[in-house]
Amino acid sequence: MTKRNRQTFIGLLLLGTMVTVALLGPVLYRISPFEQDLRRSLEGPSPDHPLGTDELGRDLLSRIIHGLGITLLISFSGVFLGGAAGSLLGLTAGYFGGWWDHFATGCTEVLMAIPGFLLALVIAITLKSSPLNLSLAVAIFTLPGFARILRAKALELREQEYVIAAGALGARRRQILRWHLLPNSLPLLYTLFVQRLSSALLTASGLSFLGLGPQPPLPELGSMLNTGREYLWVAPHLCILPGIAITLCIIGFNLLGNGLQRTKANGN
Amino acid sequence: MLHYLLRRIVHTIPVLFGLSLLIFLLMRALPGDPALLYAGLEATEAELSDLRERMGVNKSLLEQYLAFIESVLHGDFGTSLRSGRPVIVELAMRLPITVELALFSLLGAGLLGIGLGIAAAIHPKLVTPLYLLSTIGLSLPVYWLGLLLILFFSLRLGWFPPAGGLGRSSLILPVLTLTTSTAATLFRLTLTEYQAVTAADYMRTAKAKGISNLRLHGKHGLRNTLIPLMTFIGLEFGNLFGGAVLTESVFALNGIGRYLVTSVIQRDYPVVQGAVLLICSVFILIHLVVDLIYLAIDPRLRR
Repeated sequence: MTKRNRQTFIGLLLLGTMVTVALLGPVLYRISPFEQDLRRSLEGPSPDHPLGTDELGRDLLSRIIHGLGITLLISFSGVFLGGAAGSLLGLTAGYFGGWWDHFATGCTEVLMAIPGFLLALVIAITLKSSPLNLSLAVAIFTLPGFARILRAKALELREQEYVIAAGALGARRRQILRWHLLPNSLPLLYTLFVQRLSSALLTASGLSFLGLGPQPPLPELGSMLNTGREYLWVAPHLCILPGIAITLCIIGFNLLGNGLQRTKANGN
Repeated sequence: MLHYLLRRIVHTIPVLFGLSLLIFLLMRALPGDPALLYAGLEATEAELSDLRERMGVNKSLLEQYLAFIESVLHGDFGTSLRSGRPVIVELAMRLPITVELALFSLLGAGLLGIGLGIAAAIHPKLVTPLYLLSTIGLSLPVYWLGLLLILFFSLRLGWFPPAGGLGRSSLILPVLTLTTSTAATLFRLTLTEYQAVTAADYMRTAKAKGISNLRLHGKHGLRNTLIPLMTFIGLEFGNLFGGAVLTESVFALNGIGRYLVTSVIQRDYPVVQGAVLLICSVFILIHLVVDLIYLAIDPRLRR
């Protein structure tokens, strides 16, 4: 196995594990993440609670499993929405050109002028705090990057002979966009999607660390860190464990993204 | 080149207008009556309508936007609803901490990232362990790393104040926190760029001439990698600011980032509006300056 394959493999393995835990965890580990028991708050690991309990005596393992699901779902849906909208904007801008291109490029540039995290922060306060709105904030954070890269791709593909030939044969512009530009951008899109997941997850859980994400009692890894930091001295596991879950996801995304990037760069 | 720069400067004007429009609309979309927020719940209806008149929030959106632009062009970025002081004064008060945090972190990341990147490019044995380390550095969320550092260095060892301390020593942990991911990215970039440079013909020629290793890497090697590194550092300021928002929150530092977050939570929208516009303008300016620095680094572009 070459080095880059090994990287991709470990990344996939890590992510596969995290996604499996998030999907199967709630089915196999049936303790509720919401059930409080104040007499047993801030406990360390015990047979009943393998990872201990939080400040309200809720089972930490269960909260991490559910939180992982929520955090991953927000990141995936955010990048998916932002990526889809950004690609549509970029592809049409590059292919159609004209006033639409000017408009779309202008919008992209304005969004890019705002530092990414700040943009997501401002969007997040305009909307009410909820998982869906957090993923919208992530989507808008992701959008300009996709738009810019896909616009360049469309400009490149527009000049390809098969695209010109399709146009000469009388294909409509919408058909060319759907059957030539989009399929040929897909490999690029997959790579971008994976690469943006890590910054999306960091942004999403960062915002909810600041209290702008899903509100309690919903478990989300970032907001768990936020409540856990009050008990940093008495119960450090409240901060350490959710952080490990976030970090493992990000390592997985980064390894997979790098592997894909290099595979693409080597052209095979 | 001068032509290019002029075009770039002219080009930023519509971007700035678009930016102001976007921020303005977002702030108007916020739930809640700004007059009510300002006056408090005890205010009578007459006081409220008087206040709305003075704040201009009962005018049409277009009129409000034009008034906003006019005052911004006069250097007036609005007044805080909470403290009643001008936003610009509030920001200026907190600017030094954020600037110090960002610059020290950038300096640390530059030394660490570029240094280790070049070292790894010259000694291939270092590549694998350092690359592994950079993967971890890239993957640690700043807020979690900050908490871990507090836990270990402040609470366990008692070397530094945990949060909200004064003086230079209270900046060490925040700077360390913010440095990590930038250093990791910078390391990777330097490694790739420098590996390409060491394979270049002019490096072999220079070596064949018999110049010292220091001159070879310092003069011929480093200067040729500086352009992509500068581009990265210019763009990194944005990320650095995002990281500063989180770092300041973790360490309870009284900088611009944390002020922004508190203003957001308290719905002090003139502050958010003014601060975001001001911060973004600074970033646009930084990108321009980076373009100017290219000229200093690469004489080929001066023609």
